[in-house]
Amino acid sequence: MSNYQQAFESVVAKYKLSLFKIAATFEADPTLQMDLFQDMLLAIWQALGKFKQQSSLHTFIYKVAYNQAVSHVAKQSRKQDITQLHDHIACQRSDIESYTNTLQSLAHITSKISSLPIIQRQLVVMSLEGMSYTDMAEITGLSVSHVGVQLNRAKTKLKQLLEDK
Amino acid sequence: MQHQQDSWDDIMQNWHSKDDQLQQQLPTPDTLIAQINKRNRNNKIEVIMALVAGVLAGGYIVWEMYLGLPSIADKILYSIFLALIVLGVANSYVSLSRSIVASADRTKDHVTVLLNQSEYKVKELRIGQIIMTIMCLVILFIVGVIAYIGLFERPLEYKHYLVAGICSACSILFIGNYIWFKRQIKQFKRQIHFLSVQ
Repeated sequence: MSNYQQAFESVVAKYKLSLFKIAATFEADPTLQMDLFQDMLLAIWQALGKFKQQSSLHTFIYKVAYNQAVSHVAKQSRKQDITQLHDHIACQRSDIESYTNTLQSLAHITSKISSLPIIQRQLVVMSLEGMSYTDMAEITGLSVSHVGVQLNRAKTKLKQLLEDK
Repeated sequence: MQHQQDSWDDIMQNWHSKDDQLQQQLPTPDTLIAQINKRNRNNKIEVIMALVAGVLAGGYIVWEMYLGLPSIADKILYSIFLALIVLGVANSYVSLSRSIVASADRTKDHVTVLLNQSEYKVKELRIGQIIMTIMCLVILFIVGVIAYIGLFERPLEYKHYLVAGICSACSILFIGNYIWFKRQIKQFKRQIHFLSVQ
């Protein structure tokens, strides 16, 4: 096995859970969700060779994965307008809930997170994955203070959404 | 404030509560790598197939144009086919290579890139619409010339009917393309709107 493949395998082993959760917050349809998850891994596979250690591997992986997710959502937005998209996601949620009982509590949270704007959605997931404000700023391109403001707004909004049920 | 922190802690707890089970349900790294290798191979095969088909079809048309010594009308028709083949192959090649280029930009920059790409795509599609209109007019002109010759000058031969038939089919194709481009423009505008509000 080549070094490249070994490096990739260790990335997959370490990040697959987080990447799957990111995919779940950006795509509600279970089939498309797995496609997005694979697209993220494919993008990482291709990008890994360009990694020049200017940032940490951690932030590099998340940047590539999020960009793939954003491209996916943008592509999906072409097919239907945003309100229809949210309706579609809400309707598809039931599929996820029946998809597996394991994901039930996660599916409820991801459905609420997925109704936030992209950057806020991204910040919430990164925060749940335990990232620092500096890493979040590096990945999103926002300033650290702006990350704080946006994350706070996102948390308040998410809390309201979860309380509405 | 404390209430918000508590609720955030609850969310955090739920977020990680099923991690172990989820980890087991997701495919193993080996399976995922095998799937990715398969997709990589499929992408490459698609590009190679599109290139081979394009070169074969293009080669045949060039051969017909220059060695078959056809009439001017045939040459125009062949040129249109050639242009369509080149456009088709270039489009499939560019879209495939774009889809597999991974961006390691910051999200904000990535959104800007996507926004610029969409705006550029809208311009491209508008130019495509103009080209389709011109091609349709040229083809209808050829049909008109054939009809004029048939009605006022001399009886038409079998190949004239063939050319007129192909031209009519092409004009329908171009009208179809024009409508498809219009739909695409609408979709890209929707994407621009979506990205702009982020």
